[in-house]
Amino acid sequence: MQARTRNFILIGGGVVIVGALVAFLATGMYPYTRFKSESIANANAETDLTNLLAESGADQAPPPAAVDNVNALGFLPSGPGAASLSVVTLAVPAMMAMAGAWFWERRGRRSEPRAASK
Amino acid sequence: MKFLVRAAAMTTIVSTLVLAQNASQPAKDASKQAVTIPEADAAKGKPYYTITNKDRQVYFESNAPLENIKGQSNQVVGYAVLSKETGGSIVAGEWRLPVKSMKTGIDLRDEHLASSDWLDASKHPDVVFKIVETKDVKETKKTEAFTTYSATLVGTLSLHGVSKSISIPGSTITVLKESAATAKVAKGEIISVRSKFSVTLKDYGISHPVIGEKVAKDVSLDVSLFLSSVPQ
Repeated sequence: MQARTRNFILIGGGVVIVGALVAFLATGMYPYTRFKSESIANANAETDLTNLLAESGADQAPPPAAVDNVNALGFLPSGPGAASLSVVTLAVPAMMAMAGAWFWERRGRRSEPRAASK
Repeated sequence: MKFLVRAAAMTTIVSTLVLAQNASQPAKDASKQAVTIPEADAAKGKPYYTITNKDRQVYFESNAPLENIKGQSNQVVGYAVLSKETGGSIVAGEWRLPVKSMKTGIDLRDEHLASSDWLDASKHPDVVFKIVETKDVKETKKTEAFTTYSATLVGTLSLHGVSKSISIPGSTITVLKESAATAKVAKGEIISVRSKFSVTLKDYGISHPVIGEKVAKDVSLDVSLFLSSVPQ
């Protein structure tokens, strides 16, 4: 393997792993990759009835909690297509490619002295 | 080093863009069902119809050791009949929660939830709560605009084809008189029903190897329904 190819794989792999981790941290560290849902957004935006009750002063518990509606790169994938993007599905292939490049490099180094002695 | 930082930033931006472009499609509106109140129920008192497709009506949560699942719906359809004699007493009613309207924020999980392994929406499309009576009704607050009652709802919960009698103590029923304020939101007199309870999946014939690990044995529900004396 040429040094240039090996370096490209090692750097590229590192970049993918770091990028995936940054995206995971930046989007809320969800266990699974998730996307915004229009139906959840619409339901969460509607507060007229709850407000009416609150403004009337009636004894009432706070409104039911809302499901998080965000685009987030999760630690694990949550389905096919774009939902298959996750820290694991991005980082594991990158780590395997980096490990492969590293082994190729070691193998090349070992075979060099033998070739030179012949 | 600069190259590494730039490349990492690029990966982050690309991931974010892919995530942003793949927002899921809106669910089909499950609420377009006409509510018909059986004559026997309607005769018991004053009927109210659910105000659907507005504020969140049901929130459910499964707290398992390996995963915390939260979901919601605003597609509950049904009615409640309020006693004309005893204020705040629901004497009959039926609320239907379409299984396919339950959204957890992850499309594949929603599909699993509706599959035959779990709630089996093809055979049992709705979770149904049929109210038989209201016990222990107590007036807790009264003004010119509203009256609030605490009560125990008694009825039958049908889930996954299994029906069981349940009592939900600590429920709150608020009757809001028709006014200029209510007219801005919905026609007619409005009642609010608030209940919290939990459902043991095993009791309703739902068994799966992940129950107890990734899905809780008991799922908690928080129900907040608004109903109007005039169909919306």
